[in-house]
Amino acid sequence: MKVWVYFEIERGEVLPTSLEALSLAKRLGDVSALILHPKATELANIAFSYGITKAYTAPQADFDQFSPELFASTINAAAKKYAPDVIILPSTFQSRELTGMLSIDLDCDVLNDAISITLEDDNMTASRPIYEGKVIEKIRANSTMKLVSVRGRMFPIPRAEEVDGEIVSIEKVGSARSIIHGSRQTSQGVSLANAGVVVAVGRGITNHPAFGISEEETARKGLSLASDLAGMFNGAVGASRAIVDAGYLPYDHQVGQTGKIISPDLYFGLGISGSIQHLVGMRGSKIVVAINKDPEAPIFQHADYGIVGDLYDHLPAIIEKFNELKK
Amino acid sequence: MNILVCVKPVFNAEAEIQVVDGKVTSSEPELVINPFDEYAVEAAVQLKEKYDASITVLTLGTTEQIEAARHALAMGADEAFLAEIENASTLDTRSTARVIAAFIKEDPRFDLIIFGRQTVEFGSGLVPSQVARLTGLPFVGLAGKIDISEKLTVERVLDNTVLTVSAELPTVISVVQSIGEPRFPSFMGIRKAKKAEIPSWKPSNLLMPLTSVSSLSRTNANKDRGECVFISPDDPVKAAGELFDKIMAEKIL
Repeated sequence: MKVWVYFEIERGEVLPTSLEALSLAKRLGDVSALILHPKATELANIAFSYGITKAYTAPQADFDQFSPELFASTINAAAKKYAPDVIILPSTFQSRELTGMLSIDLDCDVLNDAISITLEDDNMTASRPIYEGKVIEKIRANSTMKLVSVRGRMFPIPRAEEVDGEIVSIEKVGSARSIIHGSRQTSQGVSLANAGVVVAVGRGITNHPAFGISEEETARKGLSLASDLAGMFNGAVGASRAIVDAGYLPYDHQVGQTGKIISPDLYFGLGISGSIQHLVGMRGSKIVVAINKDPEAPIFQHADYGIVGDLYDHLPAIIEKFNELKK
Repeated sequence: MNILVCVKPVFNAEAEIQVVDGKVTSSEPELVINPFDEYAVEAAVQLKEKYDASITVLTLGTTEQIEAARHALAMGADEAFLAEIENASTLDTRSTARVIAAFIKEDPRFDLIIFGRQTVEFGSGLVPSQVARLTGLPFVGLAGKIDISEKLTVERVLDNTVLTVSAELPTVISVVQSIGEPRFPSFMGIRKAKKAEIPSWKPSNLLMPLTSVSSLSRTNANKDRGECVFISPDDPVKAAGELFDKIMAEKIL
């Protein structure tokens, strides 16, 4: 079985989810990387360092910026020429746009948001979380060619294994239908979806009477502590809806129903009561630590370890303790 | 300007969802508008206030499943159509997209077609770009702010980055919650929506039969974890030490 793995490139780097997809792909058959980026040749070496022996590359300057139309047309033409059996893509918001268009161009079924894939004879099935993770559904792809999209942190990154790989250039087909005029960075560092450790903050960070400062100043203090803790693990700061609605963090930090579904190894919920909207976003976390003043807060029913108390009393000591580990 | 907003009726996400005999059931069987689609309607109503637009709503399902369309009308949409389809909620994404694309091709007056970013139930988020591909219209996803002067300019909200993107109209877009909190329907809006007629439209030129997702099984997700272990010392330093030991013992870092 010929399996292609699409490398989503974010600021010149391969998204970890694409590397994780390589380990799934290796289980399914012969794997090639699919890279559309001006630095595709260089990026192919990353695939070769994980034992992948072939990369289909489109290194034209146009691929500097993502355009769903241009990327889909180019991949469509290459897929028709080289006929892979499966193309695996990350199920990020950006790659979903590409997956949607490819499913039309190639007329194939999508096993979307797969958390596991099973192959028996030529029957490919996937398990996917639906209803925000409350239900797991097993679905089958019936088309000859198949698209699979995978969530971040569901498969391990394969172990390093340097090989000499072959590069096959593919033709640029089609053009962008929209123009990007500018971009501004709204946050730094690891994105929520790829972070191994997430420190999430809720309304609790806005309130500490002993400080005698405004709610906003208190919140800023809490955010700075949260970001110190996250920074120790190269993690990311997440938030409940109340915090992003109040404007303390941009929307892409929101964990939950209308925000991000995350599955870090370690999740801290600080001053988060645990509304159902938030819980559906974080229930995939491996280990959950909750700190909340209210012992009845629902978050404790979804936590492995809990501290009943004020986060402002406990956080500095926790940061200090983990700092020892770093030294 | 003519705007089309596509909305889907779903189970209330805050209700208890459970699989019983392989079927997904909810403690609240009444369907509501997909929460992501509320942002799409909000975006359309904001544009109507700014540019004097007319808003058409399209929903798929049976004549019993028009709650989402009514909610959109109550928020300020002008008219709504029901693409009458028996098993709308189990259609695969390409079939859903083909129905919507057929509607757009039959009624080509729309300058802007707005979707929510995904549904809260299956959540694949594939339909918006599929519809763009099928209609041949440009696609701009994840719009958090929309401006129209001759052409469309949006702020596209990605992880850690916001892009300014423009495209010629007509265009298909999906919106994210940076658009702003969806408004509550006014009393007048609710009354108007209640009385509104929602004509059925039957897709006639789909070329292919509609297909459903090949669903083999549906099971309740396991309750993820055991009882919470409370770290008892009141002294923050002692508590931190205990927490640290517990986390390190998990061998996840």
